[in-house]
Amino acid sequence: MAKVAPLTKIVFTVIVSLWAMLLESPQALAALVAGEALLFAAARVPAASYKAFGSLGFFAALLVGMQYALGASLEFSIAIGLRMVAMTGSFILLFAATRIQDLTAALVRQLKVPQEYAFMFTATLRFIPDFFAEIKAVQEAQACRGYCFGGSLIKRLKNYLTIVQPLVLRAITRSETMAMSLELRGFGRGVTGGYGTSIGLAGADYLALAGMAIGTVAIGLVRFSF
Amino acid sequence: MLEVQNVSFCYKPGEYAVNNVSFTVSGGEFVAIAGRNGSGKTTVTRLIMALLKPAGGRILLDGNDAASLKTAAIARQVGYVFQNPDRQIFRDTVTREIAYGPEQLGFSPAEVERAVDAAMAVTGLTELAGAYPRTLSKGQKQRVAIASALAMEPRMLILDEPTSGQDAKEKLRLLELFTRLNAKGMAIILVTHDMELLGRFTRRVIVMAEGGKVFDGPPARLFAADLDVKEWGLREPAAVRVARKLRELGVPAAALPKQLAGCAAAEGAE
Amino acid sequence: MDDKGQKMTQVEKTGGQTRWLAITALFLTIGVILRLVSPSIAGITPNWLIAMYCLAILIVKPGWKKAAGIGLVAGVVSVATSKAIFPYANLVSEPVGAVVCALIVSLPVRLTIIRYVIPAISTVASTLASGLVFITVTKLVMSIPMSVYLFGMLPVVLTVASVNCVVAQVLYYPAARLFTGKDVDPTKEGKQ
Repeated sequence: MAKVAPLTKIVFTVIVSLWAMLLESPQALAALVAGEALLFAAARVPAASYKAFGSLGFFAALLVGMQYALGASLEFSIAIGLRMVAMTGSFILLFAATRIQDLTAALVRQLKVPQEYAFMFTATLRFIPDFFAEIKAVQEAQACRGYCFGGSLIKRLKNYLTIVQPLVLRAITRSETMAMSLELRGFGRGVTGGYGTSIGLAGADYLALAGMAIGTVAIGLVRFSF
Repeated sequence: MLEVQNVSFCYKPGEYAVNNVSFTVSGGEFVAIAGRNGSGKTTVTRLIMALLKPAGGRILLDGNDAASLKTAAIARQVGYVFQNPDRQIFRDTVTREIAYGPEQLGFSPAEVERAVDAAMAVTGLTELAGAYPRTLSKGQKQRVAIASALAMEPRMLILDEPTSGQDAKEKLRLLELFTRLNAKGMAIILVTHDMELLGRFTRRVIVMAEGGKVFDGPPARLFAADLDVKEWGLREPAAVRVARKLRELGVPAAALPKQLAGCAAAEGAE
Repeated sequence: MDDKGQKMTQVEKTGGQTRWLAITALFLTIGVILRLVSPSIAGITPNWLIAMYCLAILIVKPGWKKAAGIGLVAGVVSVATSKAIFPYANLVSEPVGAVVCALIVSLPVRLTIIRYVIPAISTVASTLASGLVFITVTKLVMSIPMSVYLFGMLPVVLTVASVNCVVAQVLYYPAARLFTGKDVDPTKEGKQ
């Protein structure tokens, strides 16, 4: 995939969602999802991202089943499922194909998002793998003390809290170090980006943006014409 | 009590973290498992607790295959103490925290109280019974974790680097605790790469290197001159190095201070 | 001593400029993970994110404007991790939920028993507000049949609200105690 600026990728994510909203037929939505799948391949994203995109198919199938069972038509239900895959898939692609620091820099410098909220957003995503590992470690530690998930609804909720509570307390302890680290490194003094972040738009970006604009107009015309 | 029979395990296909390891641990033994980081020592203990399933071989606990048991069931016989106690602490007092394990195992309220009181007495936590565990020192938290395991009345205790990050005084305190527990008949498996403590307190050492078992014997034998422990990522205790140097300088074993005399014996100078 | 333009940075345990940010980010992370491992029901994924940002708001008490910002971040994260019919509804529903929580948290309550259950009350109100906004926006934008709205989506909102209320009430006091360094349980005041 040619080097595309993070802003272009953000715009693309929103545009794909807009197209998913405008398109009605399952066939058109399937074509959109297929196009997204091709972009995944072109972007050469990590294997975990393919897995995440693929797993959306399972949830889409559940969604279709539920909608249909509760009275929606089959065509409508399938369209709903494909729409969800297209919208969520575009976000998975965005995060898989963009470095966190570039995303933060684009949010703050180009989209003028306040630095605190841009940081909050990217930090949330950044710590997901850490806390997944943490959950596993907590489950193991509690299992060695006789914890066994299962039983009645109340017991399951109690078991669930047995895992979540140490996690929450760990987060509070960690936040102290994190906050100190941020403050001591001048967070909030308006400087973002740092070493290696390049977010400026180039020729390929303008081409892509123009293409997206044309595509949106075309789809809009088809959608709203009789 | 514990039999590890030709056990192998891979985190990634083809890369053996544990490769064809066998050993047994009987009741009342005090065994250290040593080795450099990544040698497979923690992996072996996780296999014992059925946190991982072996790719080959089997582990028997009193004749039962550990892989067919749930970790919670094994916890009745084998207590496991992790390196980082923060991952399990979540209740608001030390007493209630220690009570979690016995409660999960179905102890009656009276049994829970008895087990908790006994565990706190052994680990020196009675005065901290009402304290908020999260605000304790690292050493105190580690003792809470140990007490939590002891309260389930296991017959064996596995500790994964319990002295990591502790000061010298706390390390000594913990090892003296393990020695007392062992004297009462509890089998102890201590995963560590602290050679000073290993040499001083344990009676048997298993050394792991690159997933395999390379040594199994008394600490004195481990520090003999004909074994190069450095290739296994280990370092001889200072006392052994001092004893060896003094022997090289011609000081006879009988003239060594008694603390070093044992190290001289380890040198094979009997 | 010469002042060479160096500024002394003072960092406080509970306050400071960034502690609220750090706690909220990490709590949102936990909420995302819990949300990711939960299956979707009738097109809606049970939203543990709400319980976690309510917990963050209860602990750091950021005021309604910052809470709206927190809600918007939660909304964007929700869109990115959603398996719902119309994920973008989160951009409206989460700020609403966060602001409702912040407003309740800021109310001056005298009665001890009510103060004690503020975590539960604020989280229920927040979840209901967020959930109702979410399903209504979804219904209107995606033309969802009324039967799906009433029998598929509404029960999920009510279920999640009841679970979230228990979660927040149980988690709040230990978390607040660790954060502030003292026991904040109002039922224990004067009994020390």
